[in-house]
Amino acid sequence: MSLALFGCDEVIDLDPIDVSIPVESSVRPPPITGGTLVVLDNATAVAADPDRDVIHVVDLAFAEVLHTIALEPGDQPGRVVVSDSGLVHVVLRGYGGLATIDVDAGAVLSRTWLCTEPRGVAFNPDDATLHVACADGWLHQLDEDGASLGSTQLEPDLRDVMIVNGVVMASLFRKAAIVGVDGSRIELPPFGDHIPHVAWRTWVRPSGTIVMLHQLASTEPVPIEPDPEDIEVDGGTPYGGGGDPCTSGITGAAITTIFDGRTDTVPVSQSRLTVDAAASPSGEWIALAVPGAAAEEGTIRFQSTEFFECDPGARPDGDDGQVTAVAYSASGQLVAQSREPATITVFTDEPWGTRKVIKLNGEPRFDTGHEIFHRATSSGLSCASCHPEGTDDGHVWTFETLGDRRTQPLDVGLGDTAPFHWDGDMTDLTMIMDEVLSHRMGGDRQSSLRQASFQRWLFAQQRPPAGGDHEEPSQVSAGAQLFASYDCGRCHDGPALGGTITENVRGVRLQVPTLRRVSLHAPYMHDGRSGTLEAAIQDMVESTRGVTAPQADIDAIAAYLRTL
Amino acid sequence: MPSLSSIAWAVVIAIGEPEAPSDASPSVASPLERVFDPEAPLAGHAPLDDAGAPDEPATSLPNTGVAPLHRSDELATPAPAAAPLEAGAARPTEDPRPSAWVAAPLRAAELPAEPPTDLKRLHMVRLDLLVGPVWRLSKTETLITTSVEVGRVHGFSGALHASVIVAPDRDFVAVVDIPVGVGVIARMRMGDSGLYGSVGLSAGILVHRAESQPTFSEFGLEEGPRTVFHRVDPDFRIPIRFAWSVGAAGFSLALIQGFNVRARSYERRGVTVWERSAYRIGLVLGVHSDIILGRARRLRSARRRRGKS
Repeated sequence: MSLALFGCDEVIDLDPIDVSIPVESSVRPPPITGGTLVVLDNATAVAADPDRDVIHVVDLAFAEVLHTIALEPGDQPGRVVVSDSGLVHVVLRGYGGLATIDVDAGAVLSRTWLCTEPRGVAFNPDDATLHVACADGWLHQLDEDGASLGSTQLEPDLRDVMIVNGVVMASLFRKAAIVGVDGSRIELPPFGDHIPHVAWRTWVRPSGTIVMLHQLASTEPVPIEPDPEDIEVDGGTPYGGGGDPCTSGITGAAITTIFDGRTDTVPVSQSRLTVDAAASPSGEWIALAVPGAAAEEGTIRFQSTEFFECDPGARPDGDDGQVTAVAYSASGQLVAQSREPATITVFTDEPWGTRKVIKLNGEPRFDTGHEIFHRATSSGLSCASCHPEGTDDGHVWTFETLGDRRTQPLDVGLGDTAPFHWDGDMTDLTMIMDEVLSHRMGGDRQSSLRQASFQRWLFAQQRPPAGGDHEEPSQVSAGAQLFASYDCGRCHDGPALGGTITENVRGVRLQVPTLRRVSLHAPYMHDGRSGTLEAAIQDMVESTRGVTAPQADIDAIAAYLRTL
Repeated sequence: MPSLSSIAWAVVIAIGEPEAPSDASPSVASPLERVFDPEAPLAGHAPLDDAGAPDEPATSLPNTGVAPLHRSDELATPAPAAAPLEAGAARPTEDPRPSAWVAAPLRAAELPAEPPTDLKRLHMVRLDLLVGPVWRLSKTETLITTSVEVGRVHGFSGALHASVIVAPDRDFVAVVDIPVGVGVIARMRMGDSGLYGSVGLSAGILVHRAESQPTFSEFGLEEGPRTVFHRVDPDFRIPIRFAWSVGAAGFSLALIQGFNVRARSYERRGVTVWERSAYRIGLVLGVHSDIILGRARRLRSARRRRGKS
């Protein structure tokens, strides 16, 4: 009890507080990227494990681990593809290249550096070539030995690679669009007052139908605080997507099929952070990896391909860990990979049948910061819902009373960029956790120990500079000089080139964003009004100096910024 | 606006002795005083003649000082003049006092009224239980309060009170406030009726107890357990009360103003879901019971006391 001696007001927060002891893994796991599993024809599963930097080779028939192939620390293996020769190729996000694996021998045959942030890979059986998509927009073509066959520049933010009727195509992560090397482009139409974004997984069925697991983002005004009328004892509100299963929240998962120019989008009812999907060979079921769901809810979900908007799907009973990848075998068995605990679960029948759990090798990677970031709050949202892969969704939200605000990236060394948010009104991460995670999203408040652990995990998720591997050094050098001559460094100062001060731009006081990895974070400005890096540079020159810069200067500065 | 649902009604508990007499209630007086203070009315004598008898006291307080009608005979034998009788001594045959001093036996119709009781010296204990709504600016709650007052019927009393304030909005948090305190009460009779008015000032503590409701996920899983909050604030009250007694019990109507220093609010997801001001005003109705602890001397003016000496 406390005795009040002076007149004062006391506000007591009823939001539940999590006081459990935080756990920090010896190697703090990276944000979930999902889709790290492939099942070979001989009932062998190959699972990339970015948390432990290993490749697991598992015999599904005998339920045993054949090989645990160690990679270099920080390699962060991601997408996996098998070639006709039986070799397995794994994208190494942390390393920036591709590893070729002999699964029979359990050995790494080669490592090929490609770009700063490779994401997707596909094997084209027509010419036995590999295609690797990079976040910077370059699509690399290799042979199975790792020799480069050429590169094609598409758009930044490439994700998955598909061979569609012989044409190499790649999905765009934030825009949830598809671009082809032949110049083709597929845009998904809006779904009501939501637009598609964040294409977690895109693949092609044998029929030629493209299937995309993506998110839908609301274009309606988003309240800063929940409407008091919407506040319920259980905390669920339309802000977060909880409550009515037929009502989409501000963001949620959806599946879109694209065939012969037609698109069909169906939102996943009451979805959580969903990072991977696989269609059963019969075509009747789609399995979803839902690592954002609470363990008690189950992180595997099955949707009938005939599902409708309000269909809640089906969930097998039991704890399958935190599933981040799913794949079907040719015989129709679903194989699910859990990152923590590290397991492979095999469901014997369609849609699931009995369960067979295979424990994988490696240290535990349970981490409180990782948990807080990915697990859904009571409203259905998790941090990763708007910050997928630990960065941003590229969406411009319309907040009531604030206006348009583009989601800010988190993979830029966040510790160097306080205060936070575009208005600079969040002095530290504690304030953000209380205001955003708890109040807006309906999550538990966290004890100071857990907040500190979360902060350490989040601040450690800085990714390397974008690189600008394809930029002309002279152009980059000229751009650096122009950057200084235009006095850009007056605000974009410090180790993160910005992020620490609030300036008045066009009559609005806004935080100066960091320029780290700026080329990977389109659109630009607080309201996303600049779609390209060049447009953003011109906008800032006009805003701050009142002149229009020559296009040559803009191009040079853009080349310099692509190296950051 | 106060909600009607928050208005609770009285539960009557009557205990103790009859209420203290009003100033029209006589106390026991010595016969001589009645003889030598002819201006003082004699109260408590039943009128032999309705037309000439003094009015009955308007109060309902017990007439503990009422003398029997045959007291007029006793008055014929003035005590101060009586010498103690020695054993075996013969009863004096003559009255030693001057004849003019010897009071003739009074007829009942000639008896003066009994003097009023000095309420300022009459002690009592009052127990009460009152229920009613309490307005805490934006919300109306139910107040149940009880108190014990010890002191003068007319004058100052000490008071000990304990109350329960139950908040009706219990969706997010179930709140019960328990003010407890001590103070003083100044009471006075209002007119010739049995209506008394009092005003008090008390200080104490307000124990605030709140129990949060559990939270559930949309799958029915309990996510947030019940949490009990306790707070203790200083608390002050100014009760203004009107009490009307009938026999041993009576009805009370009180306007109780309170201030517990600290306003309090509860938030869920940043939205205020329960709040109360530090100020409150309660209107309560209930019953009381009085216990008379002693008899007061009758009310006499200083002039009259000087005249006697």
